[in-house]
Amino acid sequence: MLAKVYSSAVVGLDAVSIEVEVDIASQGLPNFTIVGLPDKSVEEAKERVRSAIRNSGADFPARRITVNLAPGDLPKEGPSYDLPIAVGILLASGQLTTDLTDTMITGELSLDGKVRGVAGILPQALLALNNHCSSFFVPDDNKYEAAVIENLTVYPVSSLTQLFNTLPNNKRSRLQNTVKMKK
Amino acid sequence: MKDIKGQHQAKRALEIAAAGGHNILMKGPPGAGKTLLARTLPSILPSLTFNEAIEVTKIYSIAGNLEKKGLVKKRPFRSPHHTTSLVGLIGGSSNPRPGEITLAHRGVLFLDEFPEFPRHVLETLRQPIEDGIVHIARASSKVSFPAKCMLVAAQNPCPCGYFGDPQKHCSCNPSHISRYQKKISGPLLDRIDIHLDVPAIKVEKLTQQADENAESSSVVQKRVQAARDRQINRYKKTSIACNADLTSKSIKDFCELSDESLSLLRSAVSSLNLSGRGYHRTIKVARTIADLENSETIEPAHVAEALAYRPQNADKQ
Repeated sequence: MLAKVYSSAVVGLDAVSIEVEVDIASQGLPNFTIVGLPDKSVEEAKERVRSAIRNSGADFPARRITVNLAPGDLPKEGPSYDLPIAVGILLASGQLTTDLTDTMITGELSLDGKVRGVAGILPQALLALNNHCSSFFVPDDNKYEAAVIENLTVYPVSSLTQLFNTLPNNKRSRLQNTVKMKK
Repeated sequence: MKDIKGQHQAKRALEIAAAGGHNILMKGPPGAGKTLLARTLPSILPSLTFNEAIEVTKIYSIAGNLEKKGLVKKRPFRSPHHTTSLVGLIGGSSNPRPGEITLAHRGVLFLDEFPEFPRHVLETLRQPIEDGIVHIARASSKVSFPAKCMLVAAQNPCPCGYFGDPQKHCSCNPSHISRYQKKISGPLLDRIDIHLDVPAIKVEKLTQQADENAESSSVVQKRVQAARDRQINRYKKTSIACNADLTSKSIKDFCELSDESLSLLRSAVSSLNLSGRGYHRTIKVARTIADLENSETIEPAHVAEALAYRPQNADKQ
């Protein structure tokens, strides 16, 4: 099955939208590949995603998994694609059924399924706002940074399990825009 | 700032620099308090406006040193060591990252021991200081980072540090002194608005009880903030944030010189041998001094003080 999740990359000072496509083939030997000019840290997402999904109690499918980070000509770097790839695999394997086409997801995974903070959240939040995304899933560590942008629904994610448990039932904890500055 | 004894002239110059966002070079013997003075600068800087805060937060977000805080509310103060590489200062690498000059955007870039920086590193500062933006082109991508910072540099007058000192004897020979001073190129010096001599402080002053009348940083900060607010108000229809951002065209629109000021400036241009840029920078500093005194026109006294901050001997050889 094919699943699509949206994330973003930071180029210079601005973020650009990245489509994370995950395909789980019904035929072929078990394999896990990432294409779309990944650098070493994106390549290593494979190991983090595999362990994080298993250790969160979900099922990592023993199938032929292909992840494409589009656009294919832009080099991708950094660990922020871990969470969108993991969510993509859960969607493609039918373990998650939520429609996530108008949300943006970013975050690094640790082996136990916890979500770590990443750099460049603010420009990504601006992109999410400009692309009219209904919500933006960020690591819990970065929630105040994302909350700087008004009029954007930001959901802090502390672990893959938390995301997994809250998504289908729509029991999302809404982060208040608590950080305000006097103009 | 209250704890720094003496150095009234230096404090005044820093106040002007902070109010208008001007570049400043402090020259003086070791131990005179140049670094100390520069480090008090964050306490007198005007606060960030909301849009500036977003810009700064964006840069720190990308650089990944935002910690868990939300919006950056203080102007950044960056003091890279003089061994900093070119890429470290300007930004770069294959996937371009912001350098120190971008991290100092809307704040202060403090370069201590200015001549110790490698020459090719300093020369790269020329264009960003003038334009307030760094364009980085690599084979894979081209990006532009904002770099509107206030450059604060500190240096000794010679390798031993005591050239021109009334008390201590300078042990350098003339060729060493001229070589040391030539490490900073003329074009770079020309881009610095305020040239300041920070003389060594006398022992009697140092051992004195703290002066009760000395101004604390918060008092100075209030004056600086008022001057900056005047600027923001004046330039609200443009993209200019402070006097240092004025272009030669906008100087005509916003810097009204009285007739006396203009004639004073004209005579100074010929006697001090000011460059075109030096002329415009003098007007900008005079504009800031006028702002600090809540005056809409630039009077001769403002121009005279601004001229005092131009290098006195650099242009005459």
